[in-house]
Amino acid sequence: MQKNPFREFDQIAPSDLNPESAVRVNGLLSPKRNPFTEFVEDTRKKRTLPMDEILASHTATMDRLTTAYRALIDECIGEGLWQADRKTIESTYAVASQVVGQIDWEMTDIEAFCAHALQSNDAAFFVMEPLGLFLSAFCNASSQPDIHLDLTGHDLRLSLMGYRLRKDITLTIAGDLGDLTGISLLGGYLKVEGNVRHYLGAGMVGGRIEVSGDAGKYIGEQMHAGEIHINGRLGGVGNAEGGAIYHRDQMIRGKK
Amino acid sequence: MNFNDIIQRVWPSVRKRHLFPELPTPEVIETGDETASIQMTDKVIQLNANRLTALAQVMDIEDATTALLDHGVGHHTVCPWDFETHLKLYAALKPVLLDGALVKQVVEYFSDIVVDTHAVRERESKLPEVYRHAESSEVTDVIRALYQRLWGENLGVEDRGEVDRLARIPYLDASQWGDSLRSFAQVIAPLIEKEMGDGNGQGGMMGDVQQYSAGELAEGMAQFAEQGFYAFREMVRDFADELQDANMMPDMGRGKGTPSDADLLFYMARASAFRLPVQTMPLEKVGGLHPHSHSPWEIGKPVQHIDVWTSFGRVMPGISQMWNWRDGETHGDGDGIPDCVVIVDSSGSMVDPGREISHAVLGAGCAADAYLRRGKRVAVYNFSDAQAGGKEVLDFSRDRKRVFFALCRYFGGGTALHLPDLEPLLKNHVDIFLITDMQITNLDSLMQFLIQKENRVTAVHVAQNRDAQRFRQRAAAADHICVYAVERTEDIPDIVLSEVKTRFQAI
Repeated sequence: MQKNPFREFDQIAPSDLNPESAVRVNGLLSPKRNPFTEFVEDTRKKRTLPMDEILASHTATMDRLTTAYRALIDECIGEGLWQADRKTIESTYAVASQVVGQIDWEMTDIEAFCAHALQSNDAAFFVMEPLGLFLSAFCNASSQPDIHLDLTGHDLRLSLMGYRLRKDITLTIAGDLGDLTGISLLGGYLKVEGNVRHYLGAGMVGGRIEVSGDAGKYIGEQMHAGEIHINGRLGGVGNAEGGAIYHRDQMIRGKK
Repeated sequence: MNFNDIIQRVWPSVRKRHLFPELPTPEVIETGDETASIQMTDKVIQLNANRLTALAQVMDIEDATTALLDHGVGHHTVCPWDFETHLKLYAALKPVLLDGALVKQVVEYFSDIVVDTHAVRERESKLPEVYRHAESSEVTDVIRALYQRLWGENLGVEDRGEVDRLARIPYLDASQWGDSLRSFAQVIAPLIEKEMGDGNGQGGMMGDVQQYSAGELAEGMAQFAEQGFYAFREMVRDFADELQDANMMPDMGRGKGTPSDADLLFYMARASAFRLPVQTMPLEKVGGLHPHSHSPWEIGKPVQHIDVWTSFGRVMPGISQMWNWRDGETHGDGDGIPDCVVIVDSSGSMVDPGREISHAVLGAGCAADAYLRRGKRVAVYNFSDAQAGGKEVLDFSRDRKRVFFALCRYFGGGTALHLPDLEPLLKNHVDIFLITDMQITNLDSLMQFLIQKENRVTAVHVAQNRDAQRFRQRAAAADHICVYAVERTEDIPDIVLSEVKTRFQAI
């Protein structure tokens, strides 16, 4: 069977680009090593650029958000397991909202934090499920009516994105998402430019969800109101109590 | 205005600021890509005369020249530095963006930013002045706005929303280039895509930099071949123009069963990674004397050694010149390594090297490479149903491309050898490598044929079957035939190479 060529590209770890990991072979630099990086003893005065300040500030922000997320994990999970049941989701979100209120942040930091969390080897991000709730808390606390998050290029799929998305907020997410996307939506507008897994829009009480790609099973499970639109393939519709579910132009659940 | 004089004036100071990189003196070119300010061919930085003339109207020409040179040198010393790093950057982005042309443009813009920021920060470059007068376009304006933010210089461009995200990327941290490039692409790729759609995409702000030597390209490809068959094929497709310009593409024509250039390059690159160390042949005395140099003739020295042509026709001490004679040295009469014939089965039961990696072809390529590197010639007999025309016969050759082309052909169909084809190849005690699954219609005739010969034969069969068993039993009585049964096809190259090594050591 023909293999997907792009799987082979994944074998290059970012660390392969790290000149520090190169080795000397037979007294010569290996091809992986840029010999010009050896000139670290250049004593000439380097110009300080605003870039240095921007990067320092960015690093500090990421550290602050990572610490906050670690606090959330410590409080909600500790040494145990995190399970996506209703009670746990609600209590975790409550703590996340509290944490969000205690730190300084801007919406532009949040997308950078997403990328940072998905790429980081920090132990704080070994438990990824509450991250969707953490990010949802930021979105709901934002004063921006239009939020755009780009999660393309990451293998991991975030779950629980768009939880309780409130009215007057449009959240656009580019990239694939995991389970329980847009659950308990509170009137917001969630646009997903990618695919989602199961339980899309479960328990939503208003608003609109649009998915440009595929969606898994149990779409709109226990939804009360609102609309879900799926343009790709769908795995199956759940037991909705209200609202409407559309597959492309066709309504497949609900009343016109 | 003589730009070459200006280059001669500023080049020493540019080299000094960049810690004396080993680069030849740059040139000015009148023609070439009109949109590019700078090109690099075979390590020679080439500045576009039209661009320099335009810059001379708005800034000091020496500053403009040094700034452009800073950029060119930066590509050589900082990013991407070599083709292998370039391919790694490409590979980090390819699975995300998929479109090869787009990936290459994003990588070019990214490496431009790394190089420019490095030059401004650490090499006191005048590049900001050049960018202040850069031509406007959607992508260029975003990058100029980014430079404005990163460098703290007014480049006369409006701030852009995209810069908020771009400015957070640590461009100068090489250990994070993979992640940084992906973050960069999230913002910049849609803009580049739009420009490409409008027919304006050019890639990089300074021009397309063809900076790699043929050796660097070969080394980079050999390293990248380890990535895998399919990734390599994608890469060759995406870099076809660059490889063509560097004369790296095999370009062996088209026909039934003909391997694609990408497949051929893959097997050539992969085989070179399995290389055996080549032992150089020592110089040896050949016994004869030859006239080596002149010295003045003195009384008492043999008259017959006087060189009449340089002695003005006279025999006078101190004026006449005599020859000094030396022992002749040569590489000798070779090391006794014979040429090699590789017989490879490309019938339907074998893996098509153009569809997935064929370890049989790779093993054959490794054997061929080992002999070619020793200066020996290799012949190829690639067969399926040879009697019905399903065969490729390459006479003894030192042309690596032709050898691999013959090895990589795939015919499919039945399996039978036409032994009269082999007869002329097996003269002079050549070594024979036979790689097959042994499901050969005329196997008995082949066995009889090989047993009668005195050539050393290494037969590698890639499947366990009754025919293979029969071959092993018959070959057991013949000392010059060695049979290897292979459980895993991946082991073929190693088996072939260890056999070749044993032969070289035995000589």
